[in-house]
Amino acid sequence: MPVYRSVVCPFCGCLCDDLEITVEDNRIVKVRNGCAISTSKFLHHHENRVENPLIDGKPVALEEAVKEAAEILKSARRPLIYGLSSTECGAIAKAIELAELIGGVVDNTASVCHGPTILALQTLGESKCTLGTVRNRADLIIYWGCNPLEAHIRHLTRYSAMARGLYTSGGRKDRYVVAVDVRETRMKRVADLFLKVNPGGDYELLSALRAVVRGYGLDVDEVSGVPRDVILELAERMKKSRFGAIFFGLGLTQSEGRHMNIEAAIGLVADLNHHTKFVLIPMRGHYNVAGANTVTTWQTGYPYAVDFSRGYPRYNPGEYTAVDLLARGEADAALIIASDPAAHLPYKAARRLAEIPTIVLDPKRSMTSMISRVVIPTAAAGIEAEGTAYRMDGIPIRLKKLMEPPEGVLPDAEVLSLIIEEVMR
Amino acid sequence: MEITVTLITGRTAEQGVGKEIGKTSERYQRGVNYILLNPRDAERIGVEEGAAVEVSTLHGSTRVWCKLSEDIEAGMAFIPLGPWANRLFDPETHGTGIPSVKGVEAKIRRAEGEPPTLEELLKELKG
Repeated sequence: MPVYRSVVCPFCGCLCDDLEITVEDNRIVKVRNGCAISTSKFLHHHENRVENPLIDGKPVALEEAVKEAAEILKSARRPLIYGLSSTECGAIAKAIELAELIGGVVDNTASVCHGPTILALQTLGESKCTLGTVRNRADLIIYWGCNPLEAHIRHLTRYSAMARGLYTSGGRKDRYVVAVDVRETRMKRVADLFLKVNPGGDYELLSALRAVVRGYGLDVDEVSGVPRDVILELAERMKKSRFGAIFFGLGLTQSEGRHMNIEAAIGLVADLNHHTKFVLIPMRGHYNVAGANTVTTWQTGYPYAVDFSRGYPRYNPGEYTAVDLLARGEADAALIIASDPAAHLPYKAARRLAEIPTIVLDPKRSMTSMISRVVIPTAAAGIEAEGTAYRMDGIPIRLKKLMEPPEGVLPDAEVLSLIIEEVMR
Repeated sequence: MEITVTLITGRTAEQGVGKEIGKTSERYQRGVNYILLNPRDAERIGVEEGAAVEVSTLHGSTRVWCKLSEDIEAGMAFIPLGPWANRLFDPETHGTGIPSVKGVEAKIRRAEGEPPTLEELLKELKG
């Protein structure tokens, strides 16, 4: 019974690389070290699969599905290629090649998660480090608008609050932990200090902290629901820390203010670097959403929302982003790779996917696969196919192939190569 | 009776576990077809744990099961990301690419019928 060690989990941006997976008769039977979600992913990866290539719900040969996909993409005037954050980098590279070939738009799911983070970082830059450095050095950790207990389950123990490192051998007791959220999540029990900020009040609170760090007083009793004394004390604690890290999530990017919230956070971190060492790291959700941004940037110069309709890449979030393109009714065909926008985008955008010819590449059935014209099953990256993914801190990690995919099922990159060949024919 | 709340969406561990079994799995659907309300808010609109509620915003409405918890304060509500929640949100991104899905004002009241099934949502989506 082969036991694979140091297996990388292809679920969230933590890319935990210490899993032990036991495979028996080409079936995963045991997962060690995985969180609840990771264990579910490995143990159930063979369930609810797309069993055959489909056109209009009817099983067809792979060649036929590829031909139909190529035909749809070639004849479209404004094709959209979207998803990409839950597949490996080779597939992302192929998707961009295809977008250029058909003069389409290529966007990834960052546009609905940390897109605003990227916008802010492009404006102001970033102070960052690896998760290993946080583990080894950080004595003050702040989780702002994120809940790792639900979405990045092992983050706390492997990389941050509870992790034991070189200069933090005491683990949790060597660190002061702060959580900021609009509601009292379970992070309240983890943190030494929990700040409940009013919905939409993050920018204001970040700005107040900046003011105090810069030496100004606050002539109000509270800011966005947080008492003045608490803000003064936290600012002082931040300045006096040896090494501080702010992890932040969609509580900042998907709320009122969006990229401006992140700009305020970057500004706070920049101000704190006059006093100590401070970094800011986004909690990237899908395991390779950071890779989707990285590969798109290598190949086009831009991280997402890239339009090739003029033959060269142009970048404009708000215009070439999936939600906008679909809700405006502009996209007239879509190729969705490793994503389920029909279940997650606002209804009007999701509805457009059902109106136009949509092609899906996915190992599993999804809302999107069930409304699509063409569905092509693919191998699950990190389980049935190898490849590279980027961790939330920008570290590339090699995913392992543990077993063979179902017969006739190819990895995303290979299916995309076949579509490219067919388009060029 | 109807109440107005600030609606927050997000991921949950249970949604993640269910999604990895499969979007068509029972566990996924159970994990996203609900709204978390404070018991005091639920009392105001006369619903108990497990009742169906109608949630509406300026941009759409949905019916989901109601779960009660002191983890959510009165005046706020949480609904997990998914095909029941996505009917509530404005696709307007104000030039950023990202819609507002957190901190949205929503009205909640007891629903007349049960929440739609995934198949019903799918049928409607297909039009």
